[in-house]
Amino acid sequence: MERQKTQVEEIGRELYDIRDENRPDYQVAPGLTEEIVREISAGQNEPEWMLKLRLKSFKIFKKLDMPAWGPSLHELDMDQIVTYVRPKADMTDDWRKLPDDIRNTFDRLGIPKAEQESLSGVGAQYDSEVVYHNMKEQMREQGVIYADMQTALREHGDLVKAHFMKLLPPSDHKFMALHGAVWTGGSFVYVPAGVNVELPLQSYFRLNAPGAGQFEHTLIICEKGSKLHFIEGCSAPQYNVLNLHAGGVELYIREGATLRYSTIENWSKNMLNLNSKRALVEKDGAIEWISGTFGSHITMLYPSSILKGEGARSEYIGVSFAGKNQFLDTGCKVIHAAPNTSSTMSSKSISKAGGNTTTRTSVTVQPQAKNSKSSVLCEALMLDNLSRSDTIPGMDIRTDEVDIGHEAKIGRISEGSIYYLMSRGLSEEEAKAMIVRGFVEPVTKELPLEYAVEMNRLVGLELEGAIG
Amino acid sequence: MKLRNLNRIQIPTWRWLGMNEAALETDMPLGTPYRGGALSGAGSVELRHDFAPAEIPNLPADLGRLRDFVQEHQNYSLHLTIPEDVQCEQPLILDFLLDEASSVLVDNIEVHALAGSRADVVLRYRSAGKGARFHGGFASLRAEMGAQVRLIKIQMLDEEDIHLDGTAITVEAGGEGSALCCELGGGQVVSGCNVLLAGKESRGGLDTLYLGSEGRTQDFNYRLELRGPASQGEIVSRGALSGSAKKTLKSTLDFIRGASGAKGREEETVLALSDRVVNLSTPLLLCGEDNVEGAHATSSGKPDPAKLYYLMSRGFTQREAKRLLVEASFTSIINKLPTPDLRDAVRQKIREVVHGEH
Repeated sequence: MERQKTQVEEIGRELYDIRDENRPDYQVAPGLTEEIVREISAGQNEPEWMLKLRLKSFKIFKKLDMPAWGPSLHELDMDQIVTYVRPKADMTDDWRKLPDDIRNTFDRLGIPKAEQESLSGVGAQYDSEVVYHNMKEQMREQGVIYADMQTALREHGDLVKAHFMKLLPPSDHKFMALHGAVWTGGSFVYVPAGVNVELPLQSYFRLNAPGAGQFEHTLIICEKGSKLHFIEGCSAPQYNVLNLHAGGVELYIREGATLRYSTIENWSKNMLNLNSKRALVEKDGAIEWISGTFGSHITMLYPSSILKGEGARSEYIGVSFAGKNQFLDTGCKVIHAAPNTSSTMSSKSISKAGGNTTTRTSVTVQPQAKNSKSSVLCEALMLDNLSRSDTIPGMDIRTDEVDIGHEAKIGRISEGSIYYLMSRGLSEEEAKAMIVRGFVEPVTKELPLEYAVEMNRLVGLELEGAIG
Repeated sequence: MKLRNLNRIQIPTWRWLGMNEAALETDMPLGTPYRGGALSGAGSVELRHDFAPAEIPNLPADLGRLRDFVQEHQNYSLHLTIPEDVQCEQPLILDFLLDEASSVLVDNIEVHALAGSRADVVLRYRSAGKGARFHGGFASLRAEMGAQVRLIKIQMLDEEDIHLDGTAITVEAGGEGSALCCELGGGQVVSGCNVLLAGKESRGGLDTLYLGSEGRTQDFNYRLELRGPASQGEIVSRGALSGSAKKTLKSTLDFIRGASGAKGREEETVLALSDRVVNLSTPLLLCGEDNVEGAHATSSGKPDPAKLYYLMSRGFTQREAKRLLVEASFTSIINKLPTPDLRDAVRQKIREVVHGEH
């Protein structure tokens, strides 16, 4: 008898796929040349050191090879990518001042409503520029800075210069070099010592222009003993040409500070999402990465934590869901560089209808990182045999005084679990839905309620038929 | 001669981790004759020294290159056919000694276990005398329907020696074929093994025991490919590293589409006995079939202080307590060796390498 499969619907994307008419104020020509890099820089009215950094990055980009690992990026033709698109909108702190189409887009995505109800501040980027940025007055009074990167460059130039692309140097890899050459937009956050930002800040990145790239830069500095939850959301409508996202996120977490960095990514299926994120954590500080990856054609995303100070810790909780023609290569990297540091990684992946998930992790324990602990757990749910799910962990341990564990499991929904739940009165559909929700629950429970609801909606699981 | 692209990981990962492949350099005179290779326990097994190489299905490219190298430079070759339904009560033991007169061994071994046969085939490599030695070898095993065969490799070379080794096992429907590798010596070790569970309800896997000590480097690449429906297997690795030993272990469970009902498991436990060891591991779990159960687990650390304390409270010195814990972690694998002599020899080598007892 043919084995029946669990049926899981594609994630409903209607909301995200509504396109605005592409009528930019200005855009550079497709491709990447030194002239384009200079043109972007000139348009940003930025300091000379930034132009030098862009030109240096461009040279490195030309020299570096494409990655020899991970999903194939052969479809990417940089000559077809438009690296800067300026929307017809000036940055404002009043949603009403935005053009109707842009405002309606963010309304549909629920950003202004979320700002009112549950956030300390919001930044909204449309194509290559931030169009809205605002923060509650109370945060300003406490000395918190939350600004778009161009404003931060003008008003806090020394602070930006001391940190910008220091954690993510352009020599790191080809797409970091690309980012260094053409970055625009993004957010800058500075949380003074001892300040607890009680409600999250959120930056939302929307890419509307077909064939364009988005290269925003996020720089966050949490001073001693401070606390912040930063939420990043991103989406784009579907086109039949490739779009490219190569953002950069640098997080500096000083002694005793805690930063939670949550991302819900729902790019369209024509997007190459090659983002880089890195945190430097000092003594007794903590970084908590919460990551949901649902969209994109190809994603290569591995937030990394450098545990520089004694007692620093890193936590990563990630879920990815790959459907047809998706290659989601995600995970986390941790470097234990000081004694008594600890890290945990918990990764969940679901693949269906020919989708491909890869969980790629690394744990490095340097010789001086005595008494460090690391625990890695990767779980993969396969919903059919058209799909793939791979786990590729790496561990480099250079001392004996450690406690390192790694576990991975792969399989489909257990018939025994379904049977058990049905014996307790649940219908088969309810039982399956409960199991899948339970599978991703470690991620959703770490998000504020509104975002957990969004993630559950993104999972959008509709279960039919029987488990084979 | 520099040999590159050895032990290539099945799916490459970040280059900076330094795990994607291994290389090895030797200036030893390849092509010199080897005089040795003592065989015992052959019984009714058919032996041939001249043979056409067998076809090995789905042999990974890195092992294919190693096999080509061995066939080009071989100075010892043997093909064993275990006749149908023959049960070998005693293990077949092939002993290789590398010494000043025969310092280079490149051996090409093939084992073909016909349907319903059963055997343990042991290949043991040892050194004697002074000077560096080179061992390059490739062994293949084909287990036909209902055959139960184990290929046991015990490498006890000296710390100046190079050991370059490959193994390929193919298990057909209803067969059982496995490898047991004791990597106890050698200064530079590159060892790869591929176990292909090709047939329905085939069984097999790999147990490995490795020791690293001062200045030695080891690179292992083990792969279990579950291709047959309802096939089952596991990779179990136990290691101890001391001094400035550097070890890289790549172990891969690969569920191929169509292997419905397959089950696989991999596990590595490493005892680090020095704060200068370099311990690299990458346990890959690859899956193209939904109806499977796969899991892996890795743990790394020094001997449990609570257990050490307990043993010391019972009168053992710290050295003795540590020795007991190291040996205990290897017991499950040592007990799979087919004779008391082999088990004792392995235990003695562990004491020499890990605890410096001669």
